[in-house]
Amino acid sequence: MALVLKNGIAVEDNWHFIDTCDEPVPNDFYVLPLAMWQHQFETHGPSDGTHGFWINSDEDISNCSAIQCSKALEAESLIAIKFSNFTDGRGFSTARLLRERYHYQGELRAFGHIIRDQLFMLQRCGFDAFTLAEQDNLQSASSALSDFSNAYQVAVDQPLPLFRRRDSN
Amino acid sequence: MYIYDHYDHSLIRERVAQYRSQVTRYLDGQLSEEEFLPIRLQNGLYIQRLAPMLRIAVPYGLLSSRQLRKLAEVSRLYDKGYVHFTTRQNIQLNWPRLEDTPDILEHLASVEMHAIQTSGNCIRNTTTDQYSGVSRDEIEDPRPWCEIIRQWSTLHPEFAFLPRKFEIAVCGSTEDRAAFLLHDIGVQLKTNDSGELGFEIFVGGGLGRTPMIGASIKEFLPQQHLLTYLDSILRIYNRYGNRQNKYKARIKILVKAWTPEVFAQRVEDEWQHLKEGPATLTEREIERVKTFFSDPGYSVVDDDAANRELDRLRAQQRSFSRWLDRNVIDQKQLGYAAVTLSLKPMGVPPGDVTDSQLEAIADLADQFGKSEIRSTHNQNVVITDVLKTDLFDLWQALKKYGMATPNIGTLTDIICCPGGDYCSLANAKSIPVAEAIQRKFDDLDYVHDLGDIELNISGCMNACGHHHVGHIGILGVDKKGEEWYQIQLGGSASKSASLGKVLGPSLARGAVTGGIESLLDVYVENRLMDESFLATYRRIGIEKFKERVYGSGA
Repeated sequence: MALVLKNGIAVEDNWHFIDTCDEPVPNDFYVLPLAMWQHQFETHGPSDGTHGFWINSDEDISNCSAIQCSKALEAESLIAIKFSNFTDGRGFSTARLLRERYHYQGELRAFGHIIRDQLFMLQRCGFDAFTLAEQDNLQSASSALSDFSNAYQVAVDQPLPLFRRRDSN
Repeated sequence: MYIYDHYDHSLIRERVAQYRSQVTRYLDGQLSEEEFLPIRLQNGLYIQRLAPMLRIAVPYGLLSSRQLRKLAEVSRLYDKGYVHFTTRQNIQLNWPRLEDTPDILEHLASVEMHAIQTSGNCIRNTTTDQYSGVSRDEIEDPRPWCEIIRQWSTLHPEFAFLPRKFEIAVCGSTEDRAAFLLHDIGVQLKTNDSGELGFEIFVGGGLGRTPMIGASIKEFLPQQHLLTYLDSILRIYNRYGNRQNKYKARIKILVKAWTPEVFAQRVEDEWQHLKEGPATLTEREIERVKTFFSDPGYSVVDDDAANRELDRLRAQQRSFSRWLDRNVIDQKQLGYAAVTLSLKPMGVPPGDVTDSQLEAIADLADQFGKSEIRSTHNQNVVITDVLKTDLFDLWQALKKYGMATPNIGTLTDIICCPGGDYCSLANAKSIPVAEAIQRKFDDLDYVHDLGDIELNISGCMNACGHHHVGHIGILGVDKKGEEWYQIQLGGSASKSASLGKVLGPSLARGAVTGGIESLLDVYVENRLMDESFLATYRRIGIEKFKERVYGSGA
């Protein structure tokens, strides 16, 4: 089973990702594409915690009416954002919006093409789980989560900017 | 000048450590070429035609004499003993070894310098007026705001992988010396009717393949909202900018496609969520940053007496008089002057300085100024806060080091990118063209008589040499493997910014100086009184120039 880095620790991944609507869906721990999840939400209401959804980096969550519903993400336990290429920075904004604007509290996972050198910033934007290609080195890659001991800006991990925390201020 | 505290220090030290491990992983084959590329670019490292090139950040063009000495040392230890000042006020090392770059950054960190975000698709060095804090037309000192933007943009977690590079310029005066209308964001400091300080925000300016002048999207933004508003613009750009085609990826293309009005509305909508949030600037922070740029202490000087003495010396030495006219401006602090050191003597690539010149500049800044210098987007260096009574001594010292060429703002003060001699993107060489022009027009009387002329040369469409906004612009183009040069006329980077028009078919390299000579002849024959080249061009149009260069059959 593949390993995923969760809160800095490499653990086995028990979630099953569904790519298309013709795939068989298991009973629980499945992750739907955004459109399928939205359909399920519209027909059955909010998730019972047994499934989650994933978003492509080019999908605009502002256009997803289900996400705009205030209760939609409350019980959700996994949202994953797929990076088609590690230089596609849209997922960073999507993550912050999910956390800061839609108040999503569950696991937020980055997968697809991401590299360890991005972990610090991904974490700052609200991701707490990462699927990396370097499966054998996952634990050593996790040291990148603490590449920096501080940061200037407001982000999900630190809602106060440095200028509100400096000794002199 | 801003001084690091322990937070700033640990941040750049940690960045050096991170970069060192990235280089090690790359050299060990654990990091692929493709993945190393954006990572090294975000640390200013290009792999160039002949060698790697390391671009070092000079935040808003400000350098201390201590930093200059360190740069001289680094260029001796790790390079060929010279550095290059760029058109975005930064510094480049042209010959470092990849393996040495982490050590170079370690050296730089010891003097509060770094190479963070000097390249790559991220927020680049914020630039401003080289006369900040001393110019007579200043509304408000832009440097504290540049520093606030520098901190906000440094390792911003959300905007490290933008569709394309992103450049911000701040203008604090009535004259524009920062070319802020030609940046992704241009920030103009202003006061409103009740005397409160704020900003007018422009977006979507830029050069390159599709040159555009920035559009105003916010007429007055109160000062405390600067960062939340910038966050909003960047978020809209990060989410909706074109990522398919790198030539359509700058924010200007999005602004044009949506129209500035729609773009402004989208930013406004996003901003409603961030406005008044924790990133809102506090009075204390604004004051804290301002204290680093407060007046360095000026003596009370008899300005009239100093001017009389300068007039006496002018009468004795014509060359000193020329230098005062072209390279020296009066500061708002009476009795003080800001002096531009020309890095464009004949025969040297524009912007290149040797290690010993760097050390000489540092010594002169200590002796005559306040141990601080500024780099300019015209690739020169300014020493501010010089007592007028010291100008003659400074001039003599500068002559010794070859930095007193009295050509600032003239035809031979050429802006020029590194071009095909160094850059792997270039279509044509640019430095030999600049040199040929300087050689052709070496008669200072003639050059001074021509007055203010901006001649800008780029070796390719990327426009690092700002050819679109030169009064005369030269663009190197490749035609079936041969280097040709397109001439443009009438560009300007001032507040009445305009983009140059193509004069006609490209010229072979050997014909460029002759073409320039024809343009200048048309100007001299047609100018009225003290009319500048640009004003004459704007009055008489392009036709006469065209006829002279290509003949009446063209």
